[in-house]
Amino acid sequence: MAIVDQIEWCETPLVAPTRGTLVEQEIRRQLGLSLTSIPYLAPVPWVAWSFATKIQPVAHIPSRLADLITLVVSMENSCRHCYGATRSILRLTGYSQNRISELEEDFFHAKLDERSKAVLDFSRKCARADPRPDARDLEVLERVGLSRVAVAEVAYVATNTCYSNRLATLLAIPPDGIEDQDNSLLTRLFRPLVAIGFRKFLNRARKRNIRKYASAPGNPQGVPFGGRLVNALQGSPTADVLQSILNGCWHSPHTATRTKALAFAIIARTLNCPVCTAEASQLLKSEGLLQEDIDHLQTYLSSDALNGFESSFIHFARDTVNYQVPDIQFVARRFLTGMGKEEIIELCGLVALANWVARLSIILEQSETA
Amino acid sequence: MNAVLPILLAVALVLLLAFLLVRARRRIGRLRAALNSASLELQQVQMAFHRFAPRRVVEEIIRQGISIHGERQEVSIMFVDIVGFTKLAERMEAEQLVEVLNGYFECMSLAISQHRGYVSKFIGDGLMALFGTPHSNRWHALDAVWAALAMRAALKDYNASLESRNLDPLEIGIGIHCGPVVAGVIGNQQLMEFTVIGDAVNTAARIEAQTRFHQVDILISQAIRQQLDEKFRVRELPPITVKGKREALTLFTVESYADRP
Repeated sequence: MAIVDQIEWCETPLVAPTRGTLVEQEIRRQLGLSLTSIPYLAPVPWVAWSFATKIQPVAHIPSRLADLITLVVSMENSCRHCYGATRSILRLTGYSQNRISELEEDFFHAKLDERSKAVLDFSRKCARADPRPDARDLEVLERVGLSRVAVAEVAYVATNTCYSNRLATLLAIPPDGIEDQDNSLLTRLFRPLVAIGFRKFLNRARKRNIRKYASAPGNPQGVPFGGRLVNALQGSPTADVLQSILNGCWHSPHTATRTKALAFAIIARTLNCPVCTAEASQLLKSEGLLQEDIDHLQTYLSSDALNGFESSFIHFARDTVNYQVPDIQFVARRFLTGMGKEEIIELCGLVALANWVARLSIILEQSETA
Repeated sequence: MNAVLPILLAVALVLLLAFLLVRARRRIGRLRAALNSASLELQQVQMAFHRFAPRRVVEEIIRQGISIHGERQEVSIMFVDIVGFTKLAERMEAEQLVEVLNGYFECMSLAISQHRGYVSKFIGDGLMALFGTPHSNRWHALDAVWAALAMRAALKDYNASLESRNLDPLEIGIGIHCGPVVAGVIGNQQLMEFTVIGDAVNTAARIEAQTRFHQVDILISQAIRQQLDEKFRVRELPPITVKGKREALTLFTVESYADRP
C-alpha cells in the first residue's frame, strides 16, 4: 500500500457533482479526457477551467519535470486527489513504481540530476511557505542553469499545484478516475506502449491549453490584482493562463468583490508577502475601506468596517495557508455549510487562488532584482 | 554412457543455478517488501511528526540526527493549570480522576488547536501551549487570547457535564506572555520533544501562578495586552513582583471579546 492511501481524506465531498454541464463538455473536448474533478467545480466556470490547467502549459521546462514538481508539492500538501492523480500520470507516462517510491521517500537520495533536485527543493519550499522562499532560493535555481523564465515556470507550476491541492482538499474531491486506468489489466499488460501513447496525448492536451489561453481575449484594463505577477511571467504561456484565471475570478458574480479583496489581503499578510499586501490594500480602498480600517484589519484581524460574514471569512481564509488535511476539511465544512453550491465553490477557489498568487509573488523579487 | 553423464551434470548444474536464482529472487522480493513496509512506516511517522515540529526540523533529524541548534522566534506561551487539583484528587477515585482529567485535556486541547496553538507538553494537571511555532504566525498573541476565551467557554460546558454526574466542577488558571524564545528539538535518543526555552517561558509560568492570587481565570502580560485591540475587554490589576523578576509586572485579566473570532 502506498503512502497516498494513508492520507486522511473526507469521504463525502463538500458539494455534490453537477454533471452534463456545458463547461464539462468543453473541458473534455479541450483536454481529450474527462477529469473526475470537473463536475464538482462546473457550477463556477472559472474554477472548473482553472483546474484543467493542471496539465501545465509550460514551454521552458520539460513537462516531465513539471509532473515531478506536481508530485512533490501534492505529497507535501497531502492532497489525496492530486497526489493520486499525479502518481498515476507518472506511471502511465512510463515512470516505474520504484522511481516514484524513491521520490516519495526523499528526492535528495533519488536518481535525479542536481538541477532537478534543486527544482524540487525549491518547489517544496513554495508549498511550505514557512517561511516563504526568498531571493537566495531563486539564486540556487539560477546557479544550476535555469533561465529567468524557466525559474518563473518552476514557481508557477509549484504554486499552481498548491492552488489545485487547496481546491481539491477544501471540497474533498474524490480520487481521480485516472487511478483506475493506471491499475487496469490492459495498462499493466501493455505499459510501455501505453506510456508512448499517453505521453503524446498529454503533450497534445498541453499544446491545446497553451493555444486556448494565448487566443483568449485579455481585459483591456489589465487584471485587478496580480498584474505585476502576470508581467513577470511574460515570455511563458503561463502568463496568459494566470491572467485569464485572475480575470475569471474577479468578474465572477457569486462572491462580492470586497470579499475577494479581503481574501487576497489576509492571505498575503499571513504569507508575509509585502507586494501582494500592498496591492490588496489598494483593492480594499477601492471597495470603500479607509486606510485606518485596513491597518486595523491587518494588525488585529478585525475591523468595524467588516460585516459578520466578512469577519468570519478572514479567519477561514488564513486557516487555508498552513493546515493538516482533516482539520481544514472540518473547518471548511463548519464555515461553508448552508451556503449555495456556487458560493461554496467560488469561496474555495478564491482562497486557493489567493494562496497561489501570494506564493508565486516570489518571482517578483527575481524580476525586480534583474 | 560417456556422453550422457556430462549432459546430466550440465542439466543438474542448470537446475541448481535456476533453483538458487529463484531462491535469491524470492529473498530479494521479501527484503524489498520489508524495506517498503519499513519505509512506509517511517513516512507515516514522519507525517504524524509534522504536526508537532516544523517539517524542515523533522527532515534534519532524519538526515543528521537530533538537531542541536535552535531557532530564535517570537511566540506566545500559555500555561494552564487546574485550581485546587490536589484537593480534587483526594476526593476522587483514581479511575474517575483519570477520566475527568482526560476529558478536561481533550476540551482544552481542542480549543487551543482550533486557534492555531500547539500543546507542547502536559505537566501533571497543567499544560503548556505555544502560539507562533511550529508554524510562524504574526497574530500569535491574538490567537492565544482567543484560545483562552474559547477554553473558558469549553470549561463551562464541560463543568455542566460534570455537575450532571454529581462531580465537582473544575476551575482553571491561564497565564499568557509573549517574547523571544529559542525553539528546537531538545532531548536525547530515547526522549525528545520540540519545545521552546527562554525567559519568556518562565515569565508565562509565573503569570499563570498569579491567577490564584488575583482570583481570576485568565491573566495576560503587558506585552500581550499591547497586541490586542479595543474589542478585548481587559482589566488592569495592581503591579506585582514575581519570583525571578526584579521589576513588578503589570498584569491584565481578560473579561470578554466583542466579536466571535
